[in-house]
Amino acid sequence: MAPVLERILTGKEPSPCILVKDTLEQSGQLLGFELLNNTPKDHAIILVCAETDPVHLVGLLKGEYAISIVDAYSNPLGWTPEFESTLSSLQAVTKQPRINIASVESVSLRDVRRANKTLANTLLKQTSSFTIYFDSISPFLASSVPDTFNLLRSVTGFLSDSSRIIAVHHEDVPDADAFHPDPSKPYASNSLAHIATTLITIKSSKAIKQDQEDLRKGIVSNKEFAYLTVHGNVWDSAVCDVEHKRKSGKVARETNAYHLGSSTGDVIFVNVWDVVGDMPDIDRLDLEESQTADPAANLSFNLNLTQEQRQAKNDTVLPYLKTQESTGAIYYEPDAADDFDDDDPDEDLTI
Amino acid sequence: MSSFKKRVPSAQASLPAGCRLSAYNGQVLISTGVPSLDDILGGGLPVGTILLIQEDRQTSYGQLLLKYFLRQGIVAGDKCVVVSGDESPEAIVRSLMGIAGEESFAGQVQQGVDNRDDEEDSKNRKKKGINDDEDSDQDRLTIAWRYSGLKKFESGVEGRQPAISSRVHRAPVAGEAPPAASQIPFCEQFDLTTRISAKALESADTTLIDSGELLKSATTDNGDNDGDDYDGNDPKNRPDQYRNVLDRIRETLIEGGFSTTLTKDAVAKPAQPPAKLAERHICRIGINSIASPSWRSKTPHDLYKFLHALRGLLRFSFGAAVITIPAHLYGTVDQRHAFDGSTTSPFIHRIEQLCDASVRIESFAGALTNASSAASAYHGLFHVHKVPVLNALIPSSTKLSILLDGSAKGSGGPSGPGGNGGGSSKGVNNLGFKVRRKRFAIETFHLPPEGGVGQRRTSSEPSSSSSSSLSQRKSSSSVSSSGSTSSSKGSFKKKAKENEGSASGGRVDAHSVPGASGVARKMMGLPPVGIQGAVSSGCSTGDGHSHSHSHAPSRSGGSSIGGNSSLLDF
Repeated sequence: MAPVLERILTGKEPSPCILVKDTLEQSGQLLGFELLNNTPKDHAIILVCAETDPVHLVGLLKGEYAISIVDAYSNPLGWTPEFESTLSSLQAVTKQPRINIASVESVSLRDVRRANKTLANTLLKQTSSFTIYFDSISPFLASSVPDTFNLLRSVTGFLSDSSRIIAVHHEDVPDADAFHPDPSKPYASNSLAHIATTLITIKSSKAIKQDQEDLRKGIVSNKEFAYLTVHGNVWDSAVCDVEHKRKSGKVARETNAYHLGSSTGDVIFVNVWDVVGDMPDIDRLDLEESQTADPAANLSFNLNLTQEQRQAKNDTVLPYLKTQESTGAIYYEPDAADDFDDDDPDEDLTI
Repeated sequence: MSSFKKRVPSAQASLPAGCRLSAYNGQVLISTGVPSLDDILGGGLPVGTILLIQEDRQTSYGQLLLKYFLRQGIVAGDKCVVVSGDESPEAIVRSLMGIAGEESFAGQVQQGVDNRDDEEDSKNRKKKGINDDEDSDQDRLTIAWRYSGLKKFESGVEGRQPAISSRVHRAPVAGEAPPAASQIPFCEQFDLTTRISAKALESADTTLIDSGELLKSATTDNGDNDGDDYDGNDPKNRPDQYRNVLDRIRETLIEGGFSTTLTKDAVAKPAQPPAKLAERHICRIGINSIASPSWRSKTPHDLYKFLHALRGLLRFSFGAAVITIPAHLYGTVDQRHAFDGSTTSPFIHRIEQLCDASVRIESFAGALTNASSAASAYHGLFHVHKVPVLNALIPSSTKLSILLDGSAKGSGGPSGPGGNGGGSSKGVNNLGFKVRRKRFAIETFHLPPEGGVGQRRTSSEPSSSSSSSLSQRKSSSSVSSSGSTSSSKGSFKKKAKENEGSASGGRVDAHSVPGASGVARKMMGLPPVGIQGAVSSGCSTGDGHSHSHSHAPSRSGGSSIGGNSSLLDF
């Protein structure tokens, strides 16, 4: 069975809201783009750019789609409209005939509610299924957490059968609540994970490899003159922890990994062992092995029964079988020799 | 002349429909719809109390319990108030379950009353043909036959058998009085595979409050703020959703005459006698996912005020409330997700204080388990944090609950009522829940013998891969010097690594149970988390400390990176 991640990618496993959580240690952009590039041809794509230039993003798309752009990148704080992208400017820059940009809207990150409205308008115009891609929600969260949550929720309200939301979230970037931690406010990451149907957490394969080696060796190697080891972004592979809620309510939790195929440059999903390297054998608790194995299996003598032996066993008459049929009451039939003496035999004791 | 009056049976019949008196202290109890939950609460949920259900992270069992509560209310003819912000209350009501044995909405007719899925289980076992030489054959004890009459250890609480159909099929003919209160069962048997019938839905007395819509209507009343420079931090402009919901609930209680102190007419109408007790109904309030991110409030105190006011309202009314809260969303700053789904969030604790009963659901969903482990039969753990104690010191469930078994003697735990310290509401037993095809049940379960039932503890070969040999090997490879001191750091690190070594699809490994609590891990036959930490702390002899330091900052320094891995684990 293909890894869950692959199934989600190809669309075999429907998932309306995919959230990719990444950190500084390993970026989730590659996976995000891969998910985006796997949208079905008939979908319209809405790109909400907060971290990358719309031009760049559009250039990365493979395939023809009807694209609408919500640009939160060029003028995020509403300072000057000079750099805002307009439809004409984008079309001029991209210069590729197959890119079909339907509309471009600029939003400011200062007011997420207004961005919500703009987005809602864009979505209302959509007639077919669409895929909406947030290249990063973190700037939205840095502005206002509850508004961003409402934004996402209202977008989910627009989702029809196969429409999808793909969002990349940087966990380690503080959001608006982080400066005044308040235990009465729900965490942004948790709230987003709450509404996401698929949660993919990206981890660095190099870090895991290192850890596994340490585990195997039993010591943590000491690099000279290094007090902090940071594994920079591994550009061609990563480990993803996928938590997928199926429609039936079941939750599938798997760790998949991917790496780029050397020849094609495509993303190939592989078993995590291949990326991280062989895991120490103590970790491979095979399911069959840990099931309560037949205790009679490894003995040097045979404990099993043949059919005849079993038959004979079942036929043996056990000593108290007969009493099972009765109630167990004791029937006393006095002999001729029995004496009906009602006196207490201990009467004459003089203690 | 004796002042004692004979207790006439008729006096007891004068209870509202679907209620009964507590055997311990005579409180009026209503059923939550799940017999085992009723048992945990000491017979049922006392009228006038609030039950808080802390939801689990990925699944919706909390909502399932809420639905049971509402459905039981519909059966009893109670008024059901459904408040919801995330989901539309309409959708919740429509998706309520049907009664076992009744024709469902879709027209399926249930053949007979199949309320014991356990029967299917026992049939399966027989089919497998157990090659058992022992005399512990479940069906017929041939050698130890005297034990067959012994009462079995109760691991679960079964609900009553429903009266066979005659009551539910009788359609209320015009003019015919509704079924008498005594005929409505305390807790009806429900069937999760069916939906509520249209007839029942129509006759149900429901009030649906969509908190999101309330909010919208409230803000439009105050004028549209979005046009100009809307400052979300301005307390005057922030909407108070809780207040609105509370007002609606209060209205509903007053309108329906559920409150004994508040009446519709401000001018006292002395002539109106209070309704007879038997004719009264209960008002069941179900609030779905309170304090979820979609609930807006001016200050954190709004929720506290809401719960306080709600409790005050309910105490003097014939009503009860069940509230679910996504507690996993809250946490302390440096511990975003506790690994076992529990939380030390002061916010949640405070809310628990304001409610009368509090339970928490922790599901195993998605965690890889051994197929043979005890945990696989259950879908999750059920933690009881608080049981209702009204006008008493000891909760009634201490004496009455079979599941909690608080008064069990010689159980190995706290030694009876004296040693319990005032009746620890956690009870002695661990509880787990399972959702069969047709019903939801909470049962006790205990840890299996260490290392599993069938495994031998003799060999330490890797191929046997038993959990005990695993822990042996890991502890043997650790260096004693740095063992305990840096084990905490090491264990933190190992917790972070739990997920990394896991396989995709079908394989189980020691690390692959992210987020499972200590108890849950034991149940799955895995070593406790701390033991794994022994390995990493086994650095080279002298510099053990500095080594663990070298990794600690990278893992736990900023709450960011440390939080990264911990966020995964529930």
